[in-house]
Amino acid sequence: MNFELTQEQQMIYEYGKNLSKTWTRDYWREKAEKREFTLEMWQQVGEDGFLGMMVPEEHGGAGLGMTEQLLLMEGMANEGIPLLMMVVGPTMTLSALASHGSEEQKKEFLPDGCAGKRIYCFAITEPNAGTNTIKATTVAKKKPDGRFSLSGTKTFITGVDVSDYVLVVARTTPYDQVKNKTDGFTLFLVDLKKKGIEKHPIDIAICLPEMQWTLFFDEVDLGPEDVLGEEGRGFEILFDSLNPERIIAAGMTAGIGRYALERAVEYASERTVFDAPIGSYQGVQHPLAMAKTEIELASLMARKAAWQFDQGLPAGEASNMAKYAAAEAGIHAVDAAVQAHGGNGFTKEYGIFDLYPIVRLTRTAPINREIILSYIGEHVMGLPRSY
Amino acid sequence: MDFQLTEEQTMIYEYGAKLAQTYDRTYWLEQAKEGKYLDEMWLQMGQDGFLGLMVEEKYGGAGLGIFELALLMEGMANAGIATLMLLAGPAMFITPIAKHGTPEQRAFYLPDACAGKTRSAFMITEPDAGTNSMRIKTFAKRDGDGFLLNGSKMFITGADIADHALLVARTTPLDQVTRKTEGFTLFLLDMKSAGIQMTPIEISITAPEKQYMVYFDNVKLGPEHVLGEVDKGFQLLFDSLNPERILIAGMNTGFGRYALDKAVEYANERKIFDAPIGAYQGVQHPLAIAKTEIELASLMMRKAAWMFDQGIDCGGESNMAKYAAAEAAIKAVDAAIQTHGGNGFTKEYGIFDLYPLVRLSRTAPINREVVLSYIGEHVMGLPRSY
Repeated sequence: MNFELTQEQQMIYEYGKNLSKTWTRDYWREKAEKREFTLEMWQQVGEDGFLGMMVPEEHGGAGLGMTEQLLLMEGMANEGIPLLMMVVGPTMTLSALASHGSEEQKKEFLPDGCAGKRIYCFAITEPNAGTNTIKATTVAKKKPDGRFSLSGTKTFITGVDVSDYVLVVARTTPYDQVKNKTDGFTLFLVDLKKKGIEKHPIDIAICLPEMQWTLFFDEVDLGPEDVLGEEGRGFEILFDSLNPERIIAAGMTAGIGRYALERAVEYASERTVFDAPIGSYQGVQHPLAMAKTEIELASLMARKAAWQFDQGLPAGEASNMAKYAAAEAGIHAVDAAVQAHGGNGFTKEYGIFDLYPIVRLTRTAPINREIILSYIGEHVMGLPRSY
Repeated sequence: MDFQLTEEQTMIYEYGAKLAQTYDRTYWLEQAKEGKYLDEMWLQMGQDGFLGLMVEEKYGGAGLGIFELALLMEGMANAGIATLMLLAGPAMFITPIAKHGTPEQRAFYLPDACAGKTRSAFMITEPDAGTNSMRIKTFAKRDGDGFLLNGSKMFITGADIADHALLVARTTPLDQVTRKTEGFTLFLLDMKSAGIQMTPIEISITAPEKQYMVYFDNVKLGPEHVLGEVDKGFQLLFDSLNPERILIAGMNTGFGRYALDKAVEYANERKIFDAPIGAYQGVQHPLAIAKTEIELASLMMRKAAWMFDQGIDCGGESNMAKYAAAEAAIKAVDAAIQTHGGNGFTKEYGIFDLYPLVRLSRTAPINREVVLSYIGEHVMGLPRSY
């Protein structure tokens, strides 16, 4: 075993710290409060070469892997400046394009994506197909000329308003005509400027620079050139991105947890209510130490999962464990930080409670805690299916 | 980064499962209930070459590290047959001698200890010196070129079955040292020496090792019994604190896995309504949570062990692993008990029998609160809290 980061990985992990000198937590929050994307920061990340972490160098990327993608996200979250667009863009879409795109698609879409000039989002969830993707009813109907007509609704789609393209999961063969229930799905890279696309914002109780959207497709015209990978085999590509999504979510939550704990340590070391700083009271200190431990455990498991993914090893166990553990740890960390801050924990000035909604979100999304536990029960431990 | 075990490491990790084919959990429990140690098993481990994992090959060891020793412990606990003597022996006696002993001491103690022919105890705790070792009163007074030892030690694991002990004693009184960690000396004690008496301490834990009070009345020690330098024992002691935490973490993750394996077996079979109870999320999810916590702690334990072997400071990781493993194991055993219903409390299934030992590890060898204070103070930078 070897637990050391390479120099390059160390540099990637610390990039968030550098970035936050210009694009600070305050900048992030101001944008989030206005529901505006941190576009200048995103472009800076692209210019610095950090958006195409998993894209080969010949297509404008860094030619690295999930480990580096994770370290980047975690490092940004450590500074309180995480971006969900990092999940749906570079982690889900750019890496899928790099692995499964045609040569033409790679040339057309990757360099601009890596440079931050084009932004990509990802659409799978539907009003009646959340955790159970098989129920997706968005359909791309094949026309006699070989083109497709896309119709349906996607919901909880992150950052549609700032994106140029969306990777859409659609049925090309109806559910009742496939042998395996995972057959018949196709991925389409859809230009959001196309006719027949409408978007409605979903007002959520979380303050983020990215907004959530419902996307409506009404007979959107698509060609074979818009298909990513093989027609009818989209699910296989999707499976490739499930573990990365969990890993990156784990890294984000671990990072936000660390950010909260660092604020708490600063505060508890200064704040004196009786004679000593409150951090010297075990009632304050121990919950922080427990949360710190949980964060580091989850972070380590995320690194193991990313390493396994990069090695081509099965990463389901570690990815699910990391995602579950990071969400729980992140929630504990923010809660302990809120408590350590007393009333100040709820003020906008200190901004501690503001961290709660996003860490709490990760217990539910991108995949809920209960499904993760069912995965671990069933696929890791060998218990019967429970749903 | 590289998260893979070498072939040799995998073999060491799986040794416990092999050993359990002969010396199984039932053997372990029977010995424990009769108040007998696992003599045959210990000897077998020595013969198979697993007691001297961290010792150079020329002294009968395998020349490996704490990483491998932790894998050994974890693998044995996975099979429900871990022994605390791995702490007192390989971690706290054999390894310090291998690292800090004179050539004569190494030649004298190591081959027999590695072969399992001799066993050892570790003696630091006293009635008035538990978590705060500075308060140790057991005193070795200079006497010619040797020492006369007086005092008492408490909660000594396996004192009755040990041939030797590594003992921490003051050789300079607290009020005559400039730094409070000075004035301690480590002694290699022959348990047959005149002036040693012991009485058992009854504890509510079924284990093959018993706990003892040990009394010293003018026990004669020679310069050959000093490990390292006189008055400088504390530095050596610090070397074994992290290994102790790492190994206890490995013991707990292993016992936790053992409990969960039993629970999975049971939950897959047991039907009360239509489906096996493992299909109920109320049963399944607590098991999955515990499983996750066990694997998280195990991974941190491996990181700590790897760092130790690399010579990197691993205080943060060792303490995190110890804390997390104890909590995870308690949850794992509790979830396994709950899954077993009434059977969880029977001797036949032996599930509740796992609880006392995992619960002990929230308290010993170092309590949760001191571990959290370490993390708060030394990892996070909070003020000292005690």
